[in-house]
Amino acid sequence: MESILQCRGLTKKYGNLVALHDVSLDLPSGQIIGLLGPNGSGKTTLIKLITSLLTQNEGTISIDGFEPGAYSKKLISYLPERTYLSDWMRVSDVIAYFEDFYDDFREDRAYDMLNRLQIDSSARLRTLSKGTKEKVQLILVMSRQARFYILDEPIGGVDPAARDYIMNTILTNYDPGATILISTHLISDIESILDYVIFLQYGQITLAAGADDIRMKHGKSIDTLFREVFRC
Amino acid sequence: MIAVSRLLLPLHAALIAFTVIGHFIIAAGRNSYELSSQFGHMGGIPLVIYCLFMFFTVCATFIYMLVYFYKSMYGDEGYLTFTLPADTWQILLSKALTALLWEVVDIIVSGFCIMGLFFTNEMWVSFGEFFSKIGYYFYQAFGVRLNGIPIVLAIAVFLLSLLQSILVFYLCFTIGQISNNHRVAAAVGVFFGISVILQIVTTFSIMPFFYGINYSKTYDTMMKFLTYSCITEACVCTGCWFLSLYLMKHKLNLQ
Repeated sequence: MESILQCRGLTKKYGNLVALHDVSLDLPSGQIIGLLGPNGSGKTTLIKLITSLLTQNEGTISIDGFEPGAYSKKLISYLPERTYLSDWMRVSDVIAYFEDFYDDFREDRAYDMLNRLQIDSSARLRTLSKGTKEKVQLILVMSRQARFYILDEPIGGVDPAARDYIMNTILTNYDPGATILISTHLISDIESILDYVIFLQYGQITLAAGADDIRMKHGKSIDTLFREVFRC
Repeated sequence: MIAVSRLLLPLHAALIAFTVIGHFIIAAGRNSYELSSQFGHMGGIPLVIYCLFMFFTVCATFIYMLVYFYKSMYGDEGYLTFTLPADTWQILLSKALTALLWEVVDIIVSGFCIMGLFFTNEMWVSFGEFFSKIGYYFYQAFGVRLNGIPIVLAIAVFLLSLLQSILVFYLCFTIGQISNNHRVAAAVGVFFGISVILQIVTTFSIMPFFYGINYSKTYDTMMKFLTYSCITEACVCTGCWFLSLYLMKHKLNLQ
């Protein structure tokens, strides 16, 4: 199967702390992939390396056959775990901003999602709650027709009712040929949509396999397996 | 650009407004003994406040440009900036040009405000004469005839020195962000280090221009000095530019 991402021997250290150690990985195209692990396991570090926000100490990354750069940034639609939008902007300003920068951004899709979530597009971001800001960011990210979506904790900061909407938004707005990498530790909320699963622990990959294969091999759900593997 | 302008435009508009008000108050004082004596009793306090405001505007413009750079590159907004489908040099260029443009606007506005505050119709005539004879006065003072080349060089030195101060700070922030802790403090430390090195190098390198200066060749000396300043500032700018780019590409450490 064609892979959208290849990592070889990735190592990232913060001073003496090893956040990722010798990670090698191939992500298959056109699948929804869960990057699962407890807090501090290296999920966000791995994602930041893929999106070029961090530089690895060792190893290589290849996205669709290319080194990270302007081309890979065109392919990737990235949702970070924090708010990266300027507070003074209006929602409509941010949509115009994305429209300017991304050829694959679909404004109609963004406004449609805003309407369904009853978010006022003329509101300034500073007037929105943290959860609503996260929804706006998710709308921006999912309004692109990207080949590779990377969502870092997309449901971490929202209430359970909104989680269903967010998962539905992700599922109904991505192109079938695209790959989605979702990082989370809330497994039960996303298990049903995952095609492929990666377990990350202490900066190393402990498991990488198809979701159905894991269920069949272990005879239990991924959520149950996660709780067993990462029990404190 | 919009993000910066939303603060700096009102700030400079306020400076212009204060200048216009101040101009009319001073003009009224000139025409009225009563008003003039009242302002005299105030001990020039409004003028001091005006000067402080102008100083604040100049400082705020420069500091805000640096804060804006840090926030948009190495703060949370950096998560968007560095994932936009643009090359790193395009991002750096857009920040540097925005800062340079605002610095130039700031200096021009401040200069016109100082002149505008005390300007009278009589001075307008005098200024006209002054500007028409500026070449003559310059020749009288320095023995140098002003023509196109020194003026162009002087403008280039001015713009390059502004750009240099901006790019040195950008480089300091870029080096500071590599650190895992105390990133701003690291940037300040790097700034002091670079400033000291630049000062030492500049001081020693310009000495030959003023040692045993021959006043009969002032023009040549000035041209050499301006050319040398242009080259050294361009070199510092180029060094800061490429080092910042290299670090952004190979040592980015957004936390």
